[in-house]
Amino acid sequence: MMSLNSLTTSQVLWKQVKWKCKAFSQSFITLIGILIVIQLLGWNGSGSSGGGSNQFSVYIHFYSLDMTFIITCIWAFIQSLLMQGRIQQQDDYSIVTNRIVCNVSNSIVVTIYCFIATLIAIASFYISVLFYRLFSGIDLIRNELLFNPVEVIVTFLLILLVAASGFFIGSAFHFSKMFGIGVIVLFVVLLNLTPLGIANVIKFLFNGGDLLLMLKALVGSILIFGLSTLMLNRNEVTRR
Amino acid sequence: MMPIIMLIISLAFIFLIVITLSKVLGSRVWTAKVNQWIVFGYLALGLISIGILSFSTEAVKKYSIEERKAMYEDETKLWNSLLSGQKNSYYERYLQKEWEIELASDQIRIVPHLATDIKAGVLVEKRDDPNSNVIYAKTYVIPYQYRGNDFTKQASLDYFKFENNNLIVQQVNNQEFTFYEIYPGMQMLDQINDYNIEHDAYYSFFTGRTILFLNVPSHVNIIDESGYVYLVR
Repeated sequence: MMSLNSLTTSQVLWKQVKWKCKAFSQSFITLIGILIVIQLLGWNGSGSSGGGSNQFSVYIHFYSLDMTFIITCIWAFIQSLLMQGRIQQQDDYSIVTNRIVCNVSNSIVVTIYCFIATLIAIASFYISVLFYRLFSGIDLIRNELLFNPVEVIVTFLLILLVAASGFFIGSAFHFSKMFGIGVIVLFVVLLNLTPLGIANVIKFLFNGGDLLLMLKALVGSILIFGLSTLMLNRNEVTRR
Repeated sequence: MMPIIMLIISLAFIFLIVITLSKVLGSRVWTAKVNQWIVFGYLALGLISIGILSFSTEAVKKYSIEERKAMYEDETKLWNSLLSGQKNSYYERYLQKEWEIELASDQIRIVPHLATDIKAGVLVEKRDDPNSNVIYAKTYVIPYQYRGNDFTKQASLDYFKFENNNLIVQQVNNQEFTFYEIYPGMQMLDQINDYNIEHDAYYSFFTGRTILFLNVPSHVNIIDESGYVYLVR
């Protein structure tokens, strides 16, 4: 590291995080725009169920977070994939740094972005529900909790896990194009070869209640971010 | 089809304005500061929406699977308790209505309005009161639930009507409810965890059942033509 000023690692890290947070902030406008279009088209992730007994029939239409969650996950995946791209990594030279600091700062920025994106997704959900309520005149029911903090944390950690996967694939491609393709091929092959089947793998990852799900997502994200940082730390020379 | 075309045209128009403004004003438009304010504004709008929705939506009690298991047992106990004549103040929470029936004679007929299966039952308890022709009635309603949502308030569950010395067990018109529920979570996670199947598994046969408890003077003759009188003691 060459610089006239002597800066500690944490100072450089903080500087990079602040700078990157501002530098890629236009991606939130893209997310908001996509979410608005999706909600306007009525793809609000609602589902319905019906049933009853004797003279009663009950039909419940749900307005749930599903669609906003899926869109935000796709956004987070692409965003973190691009964050690890070669072009964006060259921006890191704006602040004198090393590879570890650069990757750790990217991980922190992705985490902060995922948190803001979660809030945007949740805000989108409530704004769209309010618009449906105002323009269609439907009577809405809710449970005691209109806003569930546990669900917010679950949503955030799952988006973070998806973003971490994008981050890992981005890092793999940054390491070597062949390695990136190899990682994707290996993932697809493993998923298809598993005797449990894809459905059971998904079930294993996501079942077990909110607390276990949060733990799985958090540990998974930390591991993937760590692995990505370790992988790129071994990449010694950038060829042009 | 027309609204979608209009929507697409509107969006294209907005997109065109944004692009033109960006080109004219250059990078002065999409600065980090502007982005920041747009995000803050959007989040503030979300908060306002939550505030408005919390006032303008109706809260429906949602029971967890554990609560439903407990209620299922409780409802069965209530039914058995009323059948066995045990007095339990705990079950008074299911009491919906307390009313009196003044008989013109020493006889009451209990008749069905329509001979179909109605989720109702009548329990009769006799008392020594030779000078009175008053029947004290209590209507108990076991909460009507669907997938853990309590719709007792919305459903009309009063099956009993008294007219000309006849207690009519009447068929309530078919009731169809359509609700729009705000679910502050992900349905797909519930599906993966089989919560919906679990909710369906705990379907109570007693849900929405109405029990009419009659305290009748012992000299009053009860003619049951309905088949809904489960017990006379």
